[in-house]
Amino acid sequence: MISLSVVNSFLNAASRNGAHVIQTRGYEEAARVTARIASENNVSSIALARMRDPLLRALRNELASMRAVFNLDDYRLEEAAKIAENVDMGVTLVDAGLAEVGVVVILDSYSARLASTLPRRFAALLPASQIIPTYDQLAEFLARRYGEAGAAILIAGPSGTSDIELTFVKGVHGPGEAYFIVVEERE
Amino acid sequence: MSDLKTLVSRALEDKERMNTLWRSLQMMLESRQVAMAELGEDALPRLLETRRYTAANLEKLVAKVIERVREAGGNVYFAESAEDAAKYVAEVARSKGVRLVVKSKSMTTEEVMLNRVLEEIGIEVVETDLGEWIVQLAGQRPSHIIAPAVHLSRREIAKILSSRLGISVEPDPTAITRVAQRVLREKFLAADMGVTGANIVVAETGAAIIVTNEGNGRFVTTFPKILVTVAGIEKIVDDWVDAFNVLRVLARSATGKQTSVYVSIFGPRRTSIKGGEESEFHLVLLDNGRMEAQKSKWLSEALRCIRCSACFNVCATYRVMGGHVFGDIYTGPIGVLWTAITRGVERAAQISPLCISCGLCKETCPVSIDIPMTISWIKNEKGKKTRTDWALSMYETYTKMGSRAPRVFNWLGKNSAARKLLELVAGIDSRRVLPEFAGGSFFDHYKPRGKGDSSIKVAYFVDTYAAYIDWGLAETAVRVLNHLGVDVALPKQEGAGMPLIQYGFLEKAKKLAEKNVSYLFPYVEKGYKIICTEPSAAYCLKVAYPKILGTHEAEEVAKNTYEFSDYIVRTGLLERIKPERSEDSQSVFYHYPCHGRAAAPGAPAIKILEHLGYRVYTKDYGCCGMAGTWGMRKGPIGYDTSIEIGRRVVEIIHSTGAKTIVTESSVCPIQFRHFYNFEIKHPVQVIAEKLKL
Repeated sequence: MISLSVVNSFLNAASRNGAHVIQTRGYEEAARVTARIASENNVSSIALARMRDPLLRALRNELASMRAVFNLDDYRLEEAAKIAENVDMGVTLVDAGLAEVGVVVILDSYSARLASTLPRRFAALLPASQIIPTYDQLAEFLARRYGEAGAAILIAGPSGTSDIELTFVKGVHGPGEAYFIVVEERE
Repeated sequence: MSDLKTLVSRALEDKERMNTLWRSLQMMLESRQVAMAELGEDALPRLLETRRYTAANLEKLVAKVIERVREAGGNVYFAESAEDAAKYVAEVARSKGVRLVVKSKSMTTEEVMLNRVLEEIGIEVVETDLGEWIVQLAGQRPSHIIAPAVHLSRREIAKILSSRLGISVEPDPTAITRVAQRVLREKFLAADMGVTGANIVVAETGAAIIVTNEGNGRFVTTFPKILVTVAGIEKIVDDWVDAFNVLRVLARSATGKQTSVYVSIFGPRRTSIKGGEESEFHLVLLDNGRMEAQKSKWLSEALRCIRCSACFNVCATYRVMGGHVFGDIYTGPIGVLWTAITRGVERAAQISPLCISCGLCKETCPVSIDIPMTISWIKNEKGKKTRTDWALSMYETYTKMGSRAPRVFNWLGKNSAARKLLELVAGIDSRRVLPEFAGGSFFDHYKPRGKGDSSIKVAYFVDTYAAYIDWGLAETAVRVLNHLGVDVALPKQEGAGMPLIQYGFLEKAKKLAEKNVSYLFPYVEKGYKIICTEPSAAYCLKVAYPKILGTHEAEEVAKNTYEFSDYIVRTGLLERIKPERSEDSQSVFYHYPCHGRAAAPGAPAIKILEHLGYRVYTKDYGCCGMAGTWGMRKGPIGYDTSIEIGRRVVEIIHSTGAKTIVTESSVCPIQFRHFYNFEIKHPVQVIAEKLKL
């Protein structure tokens, strides 16, 4: 049972990092929200990574009217890389969230990596039950799960820099907009 | 030393650069404070424990990493020296036919001068952190470890990019960033090899961790087929919990953010977009003086460093001159220690005159590295002492003389010919207005007051200024303490010796410290607390003496010494003064002296002033630049720099509208009065006025 306060601290912390945070109930709503973000931002092509049913089905449904939707896990690496380079938004199902500082955790895979690095927009779908309260618990999580993946990434929000006169500029090499969509189980 | 002098003079001519740097560092200082205040109580103690373990167990941790990386099928190389490390990386690149290397910001690869070595064998090396890329295009080296281009204005950057890339670039941060993004994206996708440093290496799994905000670290570690990570062995921590003990604090202390945008964790089993299952990982563990430093009483503390650069933000001289003057490869305050570790104490001593011993770097350091005392030691070991250093280290002797012949000395102090002579002989800048001697010393005037039967007994450690220059201050302090029911004893004593420590005369300082401790320890044994009205004296007794002497007596004296304001608040004596609430309360500005921060944490004087009904303004801008006698020294390393710091500090004070400054320091007022005729008081004097003593 995940406590409401952990979800809330995740959402608060993540929004401080500059991520757009959205709370949803159930996979259908999460898929609808993803589609809404896409349409509001004139996104016409999307790359999905590490999706599985029923979420994948829901997303395909909601994104049916979009010009191009690619499920990166269906492609060979070279093809997937080409696709990710050319789509407007990447959407990944992530492995965990860390409430203490509002970051999402991805155990490494090609598709997730491509979807979260190359497109200008990045959406992370995060099951609420996967939110970890503190760094200490994240340490336990990695002690269990890092070995199988061989690499991991924590993402806090949009890429940015303050290297010029400490003026913040959003979006450098990584995505300039990050959406963290928390998916709570429907009761 | 003329080299450093020339560099400083040149830096002082570039007003635009000084303004850019000062503004940026002030912003970093302020945002950091907010972020650090949010940390849980156990965050810093846990970080310290993790880093202390590393600093004491390098061999063990290195062995563990090597074993774990090999077990996982990765390549690991232990490099004894910088040359070793660079040679290994160059050989990997050469043997694999690498043409293009993309790098994510790394001081360790700067330390081994990797770019030069790779370029010499015809490999193109591209820095991908925006600031580092700009600096690389400019043909410079990073001036700050986390903000490499902090010294450059947008105008300068646009000019550099326009001329190097042959396109027209607007002097606008967003426009500049877009250009970088376009140019570097191509490089990321084309590179054969990525090179990174490491913020952390986790021994348990052989994983490396790097943090970036721009996302360049992710590209460098996950796209190219070959990845080489060059990590100083002091970056190793034992396990994931330790790794997060560092990460919990790192971003807050470095950038004022709760976390970096990207934390990349990778290791021997990484796969890459370009290499797939054929991907390679090489971990280069760099010693280059670190193992040796582990054995040094002075340098071992620096091995705890997490490279957050918080010490840069508060360093008065760094704030105006930046890392191209203040540093070699490693810049800023901690850079002096890292220069000593990686390039030798002699090299470090060459930049050590830029340390003015304000001690703020230690106060701000999340792992409490005693940077200022270690730099004093470096000055002591290998510093070239100038005539001025000798002269100023004897400051206390002159003040004693001045107190005996006040008329002569005060006349000399104002006589322009005499001041010119003083400038010539002792290097004291003739433009500095020196404080006037009241005549006589406090020791001649002190009369034991009070009944002597109070249960609260203190021994007053007066120090030079209140003893020989303005002994009225010392007398007022005794009157205030007596009024509050405290018996004050006056032990035999010498001056505290701060100038000796500052200019690196540690043997002399040690003798003086021994004397003072031998005078004060018997009082401590009898249950007295030692009180100092001069923050620098409290700093010597509490911080410097135990470090220099390391004896039980010095530790006991340190434990029982209090700075005046701290004592009044901590013991509850303040409650014996009726609090005042005035409708139209007077505004004062409180200047928190650097040494007061170590000796009296939490700015207790503010509590006193508020208790007395003042509206208190204060602002953290670091050191005022006077730094004891340092601001009197003629020349760029002294007066000229001091004035540039002071001008900016006084601007901040003026912006609050306050005309009265309260501060415990006796030397900061010399700086403030240089710019404006402020009314300046010691908290002792403020209390005495309120009590009409």
